[in-house]
Amino acid sequence: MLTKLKTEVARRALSARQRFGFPLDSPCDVYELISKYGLTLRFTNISTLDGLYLNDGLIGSINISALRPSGHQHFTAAHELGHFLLGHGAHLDEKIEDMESNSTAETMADTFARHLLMPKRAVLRGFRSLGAIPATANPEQYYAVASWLGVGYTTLIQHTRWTLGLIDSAQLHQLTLKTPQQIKRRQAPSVSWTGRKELWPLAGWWNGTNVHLQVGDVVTGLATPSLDHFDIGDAYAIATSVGQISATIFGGATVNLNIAKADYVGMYQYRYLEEPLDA
Amino acid sequence: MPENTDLPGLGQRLRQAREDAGLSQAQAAKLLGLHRPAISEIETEGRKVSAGELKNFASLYHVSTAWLLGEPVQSNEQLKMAARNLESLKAKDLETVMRVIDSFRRE
Repeated sequence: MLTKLKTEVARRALSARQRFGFPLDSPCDVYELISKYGLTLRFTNISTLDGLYLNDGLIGSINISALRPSGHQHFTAAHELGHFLLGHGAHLDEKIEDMESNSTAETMADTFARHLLMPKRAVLRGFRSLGAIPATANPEQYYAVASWLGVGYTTLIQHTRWTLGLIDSAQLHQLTLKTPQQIKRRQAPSVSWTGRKELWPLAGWWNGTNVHLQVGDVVTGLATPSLDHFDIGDAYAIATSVGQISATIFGGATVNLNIAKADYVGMYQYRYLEEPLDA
Repeated sequence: MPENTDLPGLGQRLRQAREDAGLSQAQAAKLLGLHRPAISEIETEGRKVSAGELKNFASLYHVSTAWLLGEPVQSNEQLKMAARNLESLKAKDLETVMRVIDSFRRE
């Protein structure tokens, strides 16, 4: 019964993507998708909840904690969108994405989020772009695919094992021995990796991707010697101010970089708004 | 709605709603076509707010005008009860959750 329900929920997630033109082999910008559904999206200064979904008939509002890592926020946003599209009532979400959720509504919202953010075709394309396959890929490759899809490293590994069945438990164990923090430190050793700073390993296969970063995040792969909102060094660039910019990366591809204040609190539509010059 | 609102707490609720929306005073002023000092005066209740301005603030910050005016609001009591019953929720977070629920804009 539950399996049948999960299959139906997965189908709903894929059709939500397709309805607004997000191909099944590419990342889905869940914040944009939420806006397209006409829902209000807010980042709220709450540390003890992951998310909150409010609705009143046709009008819905999604609130996600401002105090979580980027991948976690995307997952919460997708989970709350799941509550909306699956017709669930208003909700407080304490801890999303436990492997064993305590109710059917939570399990279904999680299933929705996994398939929305990480469809099999997108996962496989990510690894293929790196010349890899999930069964033999290394932690750095998992980290790169997770960043591209906008999800956390562990979330992608768990999904590849338990939802897609592309790796076995031994490999899951091997991969989880490495932490995202260790991977970041290895790729950019001179950065002090404090707080919720992320590392975005941009590459040619990211062409057209919308990246949601925050001030202090580190980016590799930029092909330009200078770029607004960034401090560019030899090995990597650091986001220094709020704004939106399109950037060229090695291989001639372009990505859209959206930079928010660190731990931004506020509505999604004002997240990348620059301070007026005459302020 | 009164033509000119001069209600206790209105300035503070406007400030809270602006901060919850993620806007600085300068950004809010620019989006509303006001001079920046006007926002600061309104928030410290040194200047009255017209009914039209109040509507614009509610729309920009995405909150209900009733909540801004401090009127009794119809909110999701079940959800508020659930929040009160969550032992893990910090007191400060509970206050924020209540505000999110009460200020919910239905229109």
